[in-house]
Amino acid sequence: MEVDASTTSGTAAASASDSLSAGSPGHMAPQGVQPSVNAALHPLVLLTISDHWTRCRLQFGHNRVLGALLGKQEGRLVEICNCFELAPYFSPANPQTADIDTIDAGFFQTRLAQYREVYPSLTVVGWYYCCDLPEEVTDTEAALHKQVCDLVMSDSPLMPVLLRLLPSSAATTAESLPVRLFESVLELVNGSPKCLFIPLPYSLATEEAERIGVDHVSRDMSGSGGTKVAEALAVQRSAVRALYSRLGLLLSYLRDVSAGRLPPCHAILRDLRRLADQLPVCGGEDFYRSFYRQCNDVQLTALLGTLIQATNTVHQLIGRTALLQDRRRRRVPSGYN
Amino acid sequence: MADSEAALKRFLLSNEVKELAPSDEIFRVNAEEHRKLVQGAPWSRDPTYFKYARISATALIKMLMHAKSGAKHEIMGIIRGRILPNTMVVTDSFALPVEGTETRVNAQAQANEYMCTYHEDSRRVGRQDNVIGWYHSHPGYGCWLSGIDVTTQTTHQQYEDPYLAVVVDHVRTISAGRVELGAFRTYPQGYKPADEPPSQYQPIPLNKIEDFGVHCRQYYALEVSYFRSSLDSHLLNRLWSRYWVSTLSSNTLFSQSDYLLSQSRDLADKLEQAEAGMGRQSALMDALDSDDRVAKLARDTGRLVTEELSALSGLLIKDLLFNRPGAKP
Repeated sequence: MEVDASTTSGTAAASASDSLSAGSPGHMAPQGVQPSVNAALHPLVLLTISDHWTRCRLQFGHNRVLGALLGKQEGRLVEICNCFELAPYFSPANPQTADIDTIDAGFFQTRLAQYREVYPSLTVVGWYYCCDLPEEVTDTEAALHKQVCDLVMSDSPLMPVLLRLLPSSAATTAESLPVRLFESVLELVNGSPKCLFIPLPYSLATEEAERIGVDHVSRDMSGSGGTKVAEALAVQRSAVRALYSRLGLLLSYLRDVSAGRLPPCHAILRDLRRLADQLPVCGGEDFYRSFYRQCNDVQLTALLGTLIQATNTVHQLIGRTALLQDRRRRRVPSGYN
Repeated sequence: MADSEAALKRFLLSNEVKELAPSDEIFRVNAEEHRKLVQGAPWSRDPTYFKYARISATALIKMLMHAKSGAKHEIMGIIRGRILPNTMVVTDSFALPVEGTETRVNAQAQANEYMCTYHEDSRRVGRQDNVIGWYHSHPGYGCWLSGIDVTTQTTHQQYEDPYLAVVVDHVRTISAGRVELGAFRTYPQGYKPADEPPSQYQPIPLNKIEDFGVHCRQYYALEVSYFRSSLDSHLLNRLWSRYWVSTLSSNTLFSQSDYLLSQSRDLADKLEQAEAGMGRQSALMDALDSDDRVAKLARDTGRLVTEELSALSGLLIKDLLFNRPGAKP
């Protein structure tokens, strides 16, 4: 993941210096500025944003899909847990058309109050937007960002984070998520305060229930069947296969380097060496003692389960035998048994 | 991984990146058809009209996360969607700031203002679906409707049909590794179902078994399936390419230890009860009844053992992969 971040910030900073928007300077922070927080993102946020985008495309036609991000901040870690949509502003003078460049502040406040009732520990940590430019922050986004700042700054002291989803590149980008996160800082440019954006590396926050839900939905299309044990093992198997494919990639790289087809990159080789040195991960007597004890506990439960099943079978056998005996006694009333 | 790559290739080949994929059609609201269906109200003539429930990926994850945030408390919320012939489609859910439906019938009355404001505001951001049901969580004791739930749902179905009750159990979800969710509709008063629908068996803790048994014939379960949009599918594939790490690294035996322990204790209580029941005269005849205590105990035990063994298999796989380099399995 560190490789991702360095390339992202490198290309972003490079493109900042030759800005594409006509005439106005770029909104990116100068090269070399490091972000000051780390971000953790929940998949629920991504799914909600994608749902919003699909609905907007179907029902409204315009692509102004934006909303607020809710989360928690503890020290240097920002965790983005949830989100809700924001509405463009309908001015009373012109109620038919929405002024899509302005955010409706009243709607924002009401929704925020409602979410606060249900999730009291969450605050607004940023906002999201859907657009397809990979690296830069456009003028529209900067203008919207300023509005968000005004709405949010009275609430919490930290500068909001911008999350951008790239819907069209979702199909084409091979591995990474089509999401970019930017942190904003307030700086003095030519004497006036301006928001500059720094690309922010993020990680996925994992939460058991969420992971299982995501897993279930992504595999549900293939049809369900088989026993519970088979399903659980199938999940493990696909995870192991993912690990295997990653290892295969690393192995092919090593083979290419040793055959001379690729120039060796020492940083990667050092990382690989460190990985290999970490195996075996856990060892030693203490670990194995407690591991085997846990295995024994589970197998004891399994044994008890089998005993109960056997008892049940015997119980049913006795019941059926008694029934047969009863019937036979009735059919031969003279007393033959 | 292979099937997700194949699906992606198929998608790229058919080049539907700019167009709406067929799987997105379900998001399109067809007002005319919907109005005709609502006016016809075929569910008033046939109590089992709705047989299927389709839930969107977003709604599912939202419900799970809300349930998780409530931890041991029962939480409740509203679900929105629309109806199609024989199907109820759930597209969204939102949380209500009330706790616990097990003691109050109309907890929703408290949240009415919240619900109305939320719902009206949502129209402005493109959520045009109506309220179509409610959901609540049963942390740790399975997806079924209790007496209070049945009463609440019957009232809703009388006045606000079409209405759906969804129950989610996040504790069992994590423990079993699969989503535990049930969608139910109640029968109207006095209706006797024509035949016994086969029900998904699930173990119920001892203190709730009375409540379950009395009411289990008053409602039926809809067949649940999940759907997602094309963008969702891509995001989910990408997510999986990062998530497999946490799948491998999760340790259910450790994180769910108190739930598994409480299940074992519950089984011990049931065993004692079954033993006490053995002394009765009719005990032998009971053996043939499939609702017999011992048979149920056997099934419950089977389920717990399966869950524990699956968790253990995860640990064994990890040990084999990471602790024994060079070993041939």
